[in-house]
Amino acid sequence: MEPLLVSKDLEAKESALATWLQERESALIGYSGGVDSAYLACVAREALGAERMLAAIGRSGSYPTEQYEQARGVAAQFGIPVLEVATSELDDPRYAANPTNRCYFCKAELWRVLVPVARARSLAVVLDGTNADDLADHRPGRRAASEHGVRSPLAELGFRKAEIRELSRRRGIPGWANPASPCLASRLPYGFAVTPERLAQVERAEAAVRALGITGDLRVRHHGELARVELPPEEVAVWLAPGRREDLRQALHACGFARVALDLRGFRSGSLNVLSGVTAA
Amino acid sequence: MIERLQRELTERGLAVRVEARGRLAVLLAGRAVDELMEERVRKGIVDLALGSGFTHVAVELEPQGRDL
Repeated sequence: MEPLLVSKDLEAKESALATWLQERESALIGYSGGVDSAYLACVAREALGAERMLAAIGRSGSYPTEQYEQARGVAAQFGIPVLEVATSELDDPRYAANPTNRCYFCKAELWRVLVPVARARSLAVVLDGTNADDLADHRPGRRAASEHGVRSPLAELGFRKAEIRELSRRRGIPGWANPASPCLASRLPYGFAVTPERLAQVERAEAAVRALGITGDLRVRHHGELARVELPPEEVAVWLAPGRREDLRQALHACGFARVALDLRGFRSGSLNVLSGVTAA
Repeated sequence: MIERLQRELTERGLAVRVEARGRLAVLLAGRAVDELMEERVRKGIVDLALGSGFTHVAVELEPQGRDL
């Protein structure tokens, strides 16, 4: 992996991105409001103008409400035109069965909907916010993007996550330091069916944990009647204290979990990939 | 897997019961949950769980007052 760049080189990299976008003349961006797609949308808005770009949000039960609000807020602040479309991955039994390549079916549905939108509006390319670091992860959704001709300029130009955060900070893009916010289905172990009810339960549960004052990377993993909570590692001991652990248990019990367990290692990105053997421990 | 972890935890003097859910070990610790506030104890449990073939280990937060 290439080392992180210093300030002057970062500016050159961003300039290269603007040139890349201008060479395509127009673009539709799959826009979630996460750090990467927000940055890409902001640069595209500046490089192409509002008439030649569109940020498209695919909405479904797997898309966190908090992230949707973030996406709309960034778009409003930077004058980014937004289109919302409904996606139906939850109606696809191949997705709902929650196989290890679940993300493929989700992204295939997203691009199935968005690519025709780009064509109808004469937008030259369809882009996503995949960055260079993502290429090393288990990301079956990448294949769907490739099959639909979706390009990933941040990855193609070698932008790493930390660089995108720094460039976003300089631009004043809210949420530049936000933890990663993958779709809610990532809280369900592979093979455990994805349903709108379970996704809504996870979203309520994580909001309830945050309402206790816990910030940073956290996940509520849905194991049926059992919620397994992954907190920032430094918070684990804090929430094992007698009064605190009962607060945590009751907060999740109120969200419909009969049992609550606190993971002793704390938050780990891709934790359920490890549990199912998709990636190493 | 579960028998080994259960045995090793008992040998270390940790009065907990282990429930296996695939490669996730859920510990039912009763009053012993207080011991897990110590990082040294948690790390020891995690090491034992990983050595027993589990990838994840969590302690159930039981309603206060319930003992094993």
